[in-house]
Amino acid sequence: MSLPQAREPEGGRSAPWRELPARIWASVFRSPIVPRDDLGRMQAVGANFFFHLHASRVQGRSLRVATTLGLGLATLVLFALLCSTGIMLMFVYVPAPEQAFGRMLDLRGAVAYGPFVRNLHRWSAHGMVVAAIAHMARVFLTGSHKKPREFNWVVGVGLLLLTLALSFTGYLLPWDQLAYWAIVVGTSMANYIPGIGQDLRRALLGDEAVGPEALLRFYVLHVALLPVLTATLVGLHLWRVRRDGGLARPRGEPVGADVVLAWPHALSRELAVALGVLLVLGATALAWDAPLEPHADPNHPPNPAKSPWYFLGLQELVSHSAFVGGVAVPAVTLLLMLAAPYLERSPGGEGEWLGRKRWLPNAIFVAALGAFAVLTLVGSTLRGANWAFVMPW
Amino acid sequence: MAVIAPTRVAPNAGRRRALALVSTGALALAGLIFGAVGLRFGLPRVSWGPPSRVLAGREEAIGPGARVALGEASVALWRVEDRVAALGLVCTHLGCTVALSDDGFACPCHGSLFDGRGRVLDGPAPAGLPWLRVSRTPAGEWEVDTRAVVPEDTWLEVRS
Repeated sequence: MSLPQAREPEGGRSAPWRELPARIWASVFRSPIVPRDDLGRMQAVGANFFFHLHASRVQGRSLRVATTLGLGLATLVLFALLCSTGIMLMFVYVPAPEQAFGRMLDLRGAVAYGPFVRNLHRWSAHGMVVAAIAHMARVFLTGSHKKPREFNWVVGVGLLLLTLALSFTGYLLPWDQLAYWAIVVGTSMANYIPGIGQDLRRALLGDEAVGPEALLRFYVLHVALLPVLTATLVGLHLWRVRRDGGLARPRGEPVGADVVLAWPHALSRELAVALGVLLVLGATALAWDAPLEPHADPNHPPNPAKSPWYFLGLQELVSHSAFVGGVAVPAVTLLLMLAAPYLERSPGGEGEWLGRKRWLPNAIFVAALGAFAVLTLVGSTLRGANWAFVMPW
Repeated sequence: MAVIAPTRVAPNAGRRRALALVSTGALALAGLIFGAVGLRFGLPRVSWGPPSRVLAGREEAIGPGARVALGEASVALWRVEDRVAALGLVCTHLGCTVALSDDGFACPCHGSLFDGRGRVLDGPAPAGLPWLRVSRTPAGEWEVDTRAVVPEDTWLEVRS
């Protein structure tokens, strides 16, 4: 496929400057910005660095709302939003116990749009956890993790863990009460991991107790190591979707029966998802302020001391047994998640919501998700002071 | 279409393969060593944390029968007649600071309950609260060493 060349200037030697803008333009944008024919539309995707993650042609069914609900892309948009707001917050924040909380207050009063940017960051973080879990559910319930996409599911599980790790390291940074006691409880859970637990805890804290070293370590994890890992895995995740021939489709459906150009069909829908996410997040950030608890107090935990909602199920579990709830159940769940596409070997149900052949795996998955929801609800509504059972009314 | 030269099997292929193997191995070894250095680098050798010994108030501040949780350290002092003991208030479950309850201690994080002697009554705590060594400074203050765990029922006689 030959690309359009910058036209040779006709009277080139006499007036090169007249042709210069066009030449520069053509050197940057190798194909027309708004393509007029299908060849141009394919080039617009294939020859553009930012679009070439796409195939230039996609399956029409991949674009229907019910196929994906746009959840993977929503997760990616939220990640981008988190990166950009996160970099802005880095200009204001100092990862030291004497300063961190004061910087949060500065963000409220002394920085233009400070609350808005922090709200966007916080609510996007919650949104990314929701979107990632929902995306995982969509993939599983449509059988999209089955052969040959097993390993991409494993990459996805890694991305879910990274999302949770990013959230965990993130909400520690304000050095408020939530931050402090989350770090205390979270790193104490490491103690129950057989063998490496103690060393893991010391490596996370950089000390024997929670203090400046721990804050610095969580900061570096949050702004450097984890985002870079996440971005890398996102690249791998998307690349493998393409390598595996796009989204999973039902068996027997002929390939190439229903193909459309990525420009404009896929891109316009992606634009719609991105705008929808921005709209929801922008409105949320304008309407609700991100919480900030009082300054960390190492001797007085709030009562009850509750983690954010996505860890409340875990908190409910560890309130029964630290080892079972904090190590055994998460480890077994993780192993099952990683093994799921390899355990489910019989073909059928790919690209099909709640495929009848896959009723058992789907039932197990929905039950596990339901258990997570119930534990979260118990932790959030039925637990009061001293983590005792209370009625929500 | 450009013509791609076919990969030729050199006459000394064995030696080349051995060299490739050795150099790949060297690269992997370098990665392993670097990884080990990184791991060890991350494990702290020194503790910068707060001192383990804390002052727990003037001798006379704690009267007979008093049970006091110290605000600035996770330690409780307990005086019964002429004897004083100290209990650590860091929950043995997941490290929250327990609070004084009517006749014992309660943890706000996961609901563990302890009696006045620090023994587990209920909840997920795997062990009781530790008894800590308490001593008197020459200036007449109580001093508790939060790392010096002593057997249960270790008391310090109060000089009257």
